[in-house]
Amino acid sequence: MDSDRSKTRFLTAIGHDLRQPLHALLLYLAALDRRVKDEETRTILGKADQAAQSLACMIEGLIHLARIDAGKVETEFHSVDIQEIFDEMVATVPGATADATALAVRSDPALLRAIMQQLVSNADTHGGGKPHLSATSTDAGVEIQVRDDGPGIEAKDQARIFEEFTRLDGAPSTGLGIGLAIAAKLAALLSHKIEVRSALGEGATFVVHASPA
Amino acid sequence: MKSSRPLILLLEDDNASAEAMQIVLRDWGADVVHGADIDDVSSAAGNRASQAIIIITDFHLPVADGVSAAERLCKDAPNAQVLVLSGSLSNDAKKAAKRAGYTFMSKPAPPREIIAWLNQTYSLVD
Repeated sequence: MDSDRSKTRFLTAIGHDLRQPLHALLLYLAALDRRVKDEETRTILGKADQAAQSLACMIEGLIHLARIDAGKVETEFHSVDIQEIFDEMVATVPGATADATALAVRSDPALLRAIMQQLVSNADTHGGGKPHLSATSTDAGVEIQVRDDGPGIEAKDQARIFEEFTRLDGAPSTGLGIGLAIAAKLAALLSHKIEVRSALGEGATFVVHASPA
Repeated sequence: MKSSRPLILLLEDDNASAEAMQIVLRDWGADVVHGADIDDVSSAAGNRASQAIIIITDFHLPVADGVSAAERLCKDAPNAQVLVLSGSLSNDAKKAAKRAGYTFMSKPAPPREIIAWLNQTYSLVD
């Protein structure tokens, strides 16, 4: 569709053009960080750095989306040890926990990691801040789950949350509402199925279905 | 940091990125020679180019791409380790860097990651 192509061109252009000055900004902030000794100024500088990094995350998200839509994301399938991904998530997201697992799936390691990052980040931001990861073997393959204790998602919204730029009523106004869309598009690219199991007041569990290695 | 100041060649045609990167690299403890492309940096470094232990280059440069430029510079500085940076959305830069055996980072590259790479690389080459 023309509108899809225009959107991809737009996202590509702003993503690329914003990256260069943001790269310089992060470097300037790092240089300042070494020079500032005053505590109050350091606090302000820390907040400026956080804001710049949030902007960097949003731009990366837009770029990721544009690259997927433009067919520029290539896949390379290997056996992926789920525990390794869980360990990374737990190490990088404070409050995240994971069950031990010996399961492995056939997937693209980098893209599966990107999917899990989006799901864990979503659970962290919208799901009460304590994502829990687990994996189970089923007759159909392997289920990788990210559970949260957030407010839950009504049935009528459960398909909509995987669409781009979607924010549910009452959700925190951080981010662009593209994280779950990226996860869903990457899952489709890998022929993995992604779904959410939830009810209002009962948290949510996002599930990625993949084939065993 | 070790006592001698390692020489880094920086190829970057974006003025702000080049200036900010030079500050960060000098803070880390390096001598930095910057040029917007291979001719600039070769001319600025002169005979010292062969002493470079690290080359940091943007991929999209006015004359040759960053990987080709680094390969040429490495003929004089065969032990130099190379970091390729790119803000491009295509996979070309990443693929070219991988083919040449160089490290690749997307822009904006977190300064902490750049410093971590420098620390690791310098400990290996020194």
